[in-house]
Amino acid sequence: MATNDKYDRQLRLWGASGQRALGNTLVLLIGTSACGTETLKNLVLPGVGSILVVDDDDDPARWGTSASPPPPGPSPSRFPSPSSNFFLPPPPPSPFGGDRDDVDVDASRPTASTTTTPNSNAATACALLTELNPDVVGHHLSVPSLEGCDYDSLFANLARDGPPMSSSSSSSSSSSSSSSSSSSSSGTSAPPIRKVLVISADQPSTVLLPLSRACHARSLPLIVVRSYGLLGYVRIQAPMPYHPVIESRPSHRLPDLRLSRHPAFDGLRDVMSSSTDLECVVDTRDRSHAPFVIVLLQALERWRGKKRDDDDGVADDGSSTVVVGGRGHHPVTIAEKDEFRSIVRDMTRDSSREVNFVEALREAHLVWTDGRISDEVRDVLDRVDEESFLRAAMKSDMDVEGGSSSYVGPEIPSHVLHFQLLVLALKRFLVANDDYPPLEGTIPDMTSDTARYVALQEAYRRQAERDRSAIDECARFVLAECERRSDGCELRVGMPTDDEVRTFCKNSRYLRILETRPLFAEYALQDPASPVVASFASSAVGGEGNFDAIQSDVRDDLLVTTMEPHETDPMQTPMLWWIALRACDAFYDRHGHYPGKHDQDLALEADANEVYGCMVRIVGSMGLDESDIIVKYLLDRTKGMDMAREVVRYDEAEIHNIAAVVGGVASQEAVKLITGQYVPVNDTYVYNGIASTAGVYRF
Amino acid sequence: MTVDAESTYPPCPPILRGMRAALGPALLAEILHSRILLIGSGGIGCELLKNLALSGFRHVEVVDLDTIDVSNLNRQFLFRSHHVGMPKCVVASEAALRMVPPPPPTTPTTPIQDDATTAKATYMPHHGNVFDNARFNVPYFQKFAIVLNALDNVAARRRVNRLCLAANVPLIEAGTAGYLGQVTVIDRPSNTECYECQPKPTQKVYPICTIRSTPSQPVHCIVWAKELYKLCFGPKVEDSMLYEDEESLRAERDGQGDGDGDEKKNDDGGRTTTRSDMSKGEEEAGGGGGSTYMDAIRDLRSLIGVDSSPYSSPSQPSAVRSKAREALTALFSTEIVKQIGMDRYKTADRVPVPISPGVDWVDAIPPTTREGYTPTDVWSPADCVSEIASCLVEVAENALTPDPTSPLPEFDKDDDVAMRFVTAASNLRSYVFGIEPIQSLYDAKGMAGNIIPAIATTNAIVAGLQVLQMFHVLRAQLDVKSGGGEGGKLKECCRYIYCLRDKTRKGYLLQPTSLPDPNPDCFVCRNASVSLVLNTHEWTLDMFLRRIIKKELGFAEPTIMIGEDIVYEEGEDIDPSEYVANLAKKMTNLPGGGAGHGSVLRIEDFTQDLEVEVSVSHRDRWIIDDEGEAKVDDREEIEKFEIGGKKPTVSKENDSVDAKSNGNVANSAASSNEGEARTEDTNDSDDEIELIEGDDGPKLDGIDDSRMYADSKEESKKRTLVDQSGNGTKKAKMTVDDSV
Repeated sequence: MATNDKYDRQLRLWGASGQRALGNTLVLLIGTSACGTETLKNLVLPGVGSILVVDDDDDPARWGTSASPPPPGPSPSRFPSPSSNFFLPPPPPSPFGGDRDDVDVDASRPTASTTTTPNSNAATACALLTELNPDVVGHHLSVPSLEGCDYDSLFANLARDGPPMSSSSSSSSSSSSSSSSSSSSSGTSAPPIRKVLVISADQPSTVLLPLSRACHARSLPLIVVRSYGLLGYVRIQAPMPYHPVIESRPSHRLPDLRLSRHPAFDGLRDVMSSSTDLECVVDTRDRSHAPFVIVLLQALERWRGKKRDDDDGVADDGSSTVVVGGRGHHPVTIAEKDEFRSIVRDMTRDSSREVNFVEALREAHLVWTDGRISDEVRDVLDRVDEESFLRAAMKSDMDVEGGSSSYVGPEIPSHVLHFQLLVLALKRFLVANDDYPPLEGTIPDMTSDTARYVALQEAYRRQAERDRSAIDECARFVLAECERRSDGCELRVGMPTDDEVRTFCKNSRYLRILETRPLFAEYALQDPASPVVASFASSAVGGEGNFDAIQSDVRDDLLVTTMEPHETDPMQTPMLWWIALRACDAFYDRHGHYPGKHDQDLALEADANEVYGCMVRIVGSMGLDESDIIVKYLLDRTKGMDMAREVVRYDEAEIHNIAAVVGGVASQEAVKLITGQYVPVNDTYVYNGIASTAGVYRF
Repeated sequence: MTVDAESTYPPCPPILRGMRAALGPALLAEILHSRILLIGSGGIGCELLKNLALSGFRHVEVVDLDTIDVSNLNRQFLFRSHHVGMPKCVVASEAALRMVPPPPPTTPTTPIQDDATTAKATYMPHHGNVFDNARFNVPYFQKFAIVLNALDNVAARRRVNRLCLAANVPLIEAGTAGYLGQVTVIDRPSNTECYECQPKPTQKVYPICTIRSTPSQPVHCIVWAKELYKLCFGPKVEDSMLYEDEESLRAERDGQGDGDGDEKKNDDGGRTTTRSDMSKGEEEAGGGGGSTYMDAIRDLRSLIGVDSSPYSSPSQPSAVRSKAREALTALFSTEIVKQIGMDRYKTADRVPVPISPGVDWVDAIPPTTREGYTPTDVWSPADCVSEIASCLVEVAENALTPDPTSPLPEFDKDDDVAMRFVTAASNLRSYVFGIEPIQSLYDAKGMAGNIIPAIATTNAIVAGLQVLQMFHVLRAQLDVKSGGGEGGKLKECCRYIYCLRDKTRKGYLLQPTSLPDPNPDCFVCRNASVSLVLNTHEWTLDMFLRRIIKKELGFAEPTIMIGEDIVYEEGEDIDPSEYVANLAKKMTNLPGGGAGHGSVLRIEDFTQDLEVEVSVSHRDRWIIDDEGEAKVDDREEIEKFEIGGKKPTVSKENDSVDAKSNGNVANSAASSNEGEARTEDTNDSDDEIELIEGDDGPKLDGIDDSRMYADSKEESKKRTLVDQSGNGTKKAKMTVDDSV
């Protein structure tokens, strides 16, 4: 077990499939701020397949040491304090420098302390990051400017050739054209890259907007991390068309017992008919070791019988009563539920001994928990139809040509097609099964003797297996249908494996998708007057979709959120601080630097005034200017100015702790996106380090 | 950046410039000279050290007992594979020290610095146990401005909690489990809740008879196998639940037979064995001292060098194998036959089927050394036997080494031999009792090791939050120093923060709440009294001392008084022989009038500045046997006790969690609550948590989830720290259905 030992503790969290997904992923980091490298650290440690660190040519030597003063004039660097960054240390002593001689690292790996020529930020960060985990293949790329970088061709090259592997590392560093790149793999063959995840670390809109569009166009997930003074946020831009989540792992998962379904499935009926009426059982042990499922089903029989009698009675009277709810199969109204509970209570002889009856009473709600597909899953199902699936599944010309000039819209990634195929199969299954999804097939623990528990377990397991093969058949059918209609055109999707179908069936009650608006659309709404946003908008290539629907949905959502400010101090509501931070970005758009770069009070106050102006403009364009909390705490000039002064005071400082927290959150979300387990944050996580609070918003 | 005042001076290190901008020069100065104590340098500890160093802290001491293990490397990022085996605190503080930025020079904008600020930065490791009172005591704690906890077990947390309370030093406590985490601040002057104000769910305990005779779930077999491990390799055979001597055998028989009356009170002669002592059912048991397997186990222990001096010559592998086969035959065949003969399984659904290991089984190549082996393989009975035999041979071969590191006297999930042995023994028992599923080594490790999933991301978040709480504490201390107010105001600035996996109703993923008030019934921070129920005629002072005072109440060096009479005392200057005579006495026979029903004992612990009154009640009948259940022996009944009042009782909320997560007493036939005895799981080391087998993958990262979620939803005041030890995470289900 030696080889797996390192990951033992995390395998128990996300399983072998999650670990595989991590191992097949390439993570791109754009920018090497502390926050970005912290995020990447938390992905390198658990064993992401490979990383590509991209940064411009800033020389960390200028900044790291106390020996050489920073160059005068406005800072060309967006990271004025690289040494708050664990992975960009002051050059001479590397954090691990001391015992480097006995480190068994590949000699060819560039490290801060072994190479004589000063390394680029990207190279240094990459070397120190990969040192954390020899399983991870590291690549780095230095570009003349992150703002001028053509991200779309970078991604296209990645998709075609994989990460930059060769090219001598230091020789081209002075050349003006892009790239000094090198691979710091330790000689092992690189794992297959199936997924790419992009992380933007503390970038201004001049970088973010083109990056966001390139990710959108290539259907790559993008995580934007930001740490600024005591504030920070993580913004997720899901790949197009959405990020499917099969294993959403809700924190409350009701047992899938199907008690309400009438008639019960065959296996359960058999168990029922083979168990004697507990009322007639004399042996106390027999009674007290009957699984509560049987108790509930017998109680339900009783209740149904009673219901029938009542109804008959009513009918005889000739009065006009409507049979209420559940088609009479299970209790629906509160009165009926009470009635059912009292039946269970009546069946109990000795509640101190008959634990199973106590359990039955406690779990009585399972009898009327419908078990049919929920509205949320219904929404997911409604997003998929066979027509568009067929269109997307056919290999497009673009794919064959490899050209991106005739680009019309993001191609749907194959794992989404896979998901859609299973959803289509599920839709067919639901039609044939009265809207009941495939059975999960596991039962909760309960007081019972072994024989009856095992029989019950077996009945559920068998039925689940039957349902699984039904889903399998449905998928096959859908696929055959598509093949028939595709005119011989090859499909981009094949049959899922048995394991995939099984996982899908088990989780079909909790399917989710994450759909976000791309960041460039968000910026266009929030600050259309920004010169950066405006010039970006004019360069729009079209075909980027219309996000008005999400946009207005988002606003309603946000207004609801504003109803619930921070309990003790509404000023500390994370949303307000996000707006202040967003205003700093707006300031940057207009001045090319962040506010607070003075030490005269007057100049600082002028910056604060302008930041405040940006705040007001932003809440206006977001349509929040009538929300109570905004009016009281942001549009109120005294309070709003206090916030503006606070962010101006930060002077772009990156505090390591905040970077560490935000990096922790960002990597957690990255793991969710990579493994497809759990639903990632939708879409912005705001951290307020002043009050140690955080909120999730869709801005 | 415009040219500021510093450009004429050596510049402030960039990182500190940022800190100064955001926090202000006064707080930065405080950070530069404060002394910080960090307990633990594991997952959270590594993050904390990095954060402390990069925040400019210059004087940090680190206490940790552990050495670096391979399974740490996925998150404890200051360690590399070549560090495995070295003390964590040493490697970690060296790495951290290299990151500490130089202090900013004196400038017009920074206040005058004191010596502590300008002195060389020191990150001092202490490779030791925080229970070592000679080194880590109240005066030592008083040297620090703040103590940070980065621990993974309840016992050490309790210790640090008490020392901090006694020293009046603020403690920043944290814990994680999977994606969940919590951070809180404990400060006596601020009147906050202490670590022990809320009950820590104890380990799931199984009735002894379930473990010994009527297992019905894989976890029962795992517990049994761990006891067998203790029996074979532990320092004292008596410590194992499977240990049998005449006394316990007789007690067992008495419990079964119809009232042999008052014979329980055996006099000292209980160790001698006569044939006539054995009752009908035991006849098949064959020779020896009444136990079917103890003789073979004793032989085995001396053969593999556990009981003999370490320098004797090693035993021949063939001798070990044949003795192993003898012991296994006794355990899995003779003993089972005996139990069947005793009608244990008359009412059971399934009668166990004895397994007799064949000669060729013990000689076979064990599964773990075969080609193509993976930890998710499931072993056959023959595989299990060959694995056990090869474990024993390995141990025998290592017996010559002066300092054998394997196996450890205590079961350790990360010890390869221990894990293979326990997996094999547990599965063999599962085969005998027809329990499914048979566990792979990977699964067994999850169950036996009580492993809490741990990942880098949560640690990063929690450690960052801890340091931010430190800033608040330092700011408050600064206000006091500069005459701006009194101490004890941490409730105004610090928060109890949960990291949740899902967002709460209000959209928060981090949920800060105000620091709760102390539980008025807390015997640790409120000196409230403890009520104790036990059999005062049967309990000796020694039992009371070890099981109640030390284990349950966590006293280190207790002084026990009845009225004005000291009946027991320990500590550096105390002659232990003085009270030895009292230890063997029954509670009622102690000096000072004895500790019978209604009496009050006073217990003091100078080392923890702790004093508590224990009011004793007597009870002699506990177990109301459910008909049809296996009877419980008297020994178990005598040893039962109940602590109330102060030691907080389990709240309602816990009940609901229990109900959900361990409603699982599942299809177990033996679940009489009253009859549950404590399994002596003293493995208090690392990552302790109760895990049970699950059905679908490693999916549930701690059922505590549901509890935390419920908490935040209902705004309940109750909370429990999540320990990595998982004491907050009562149970997590896990098995992997994917192959690894």
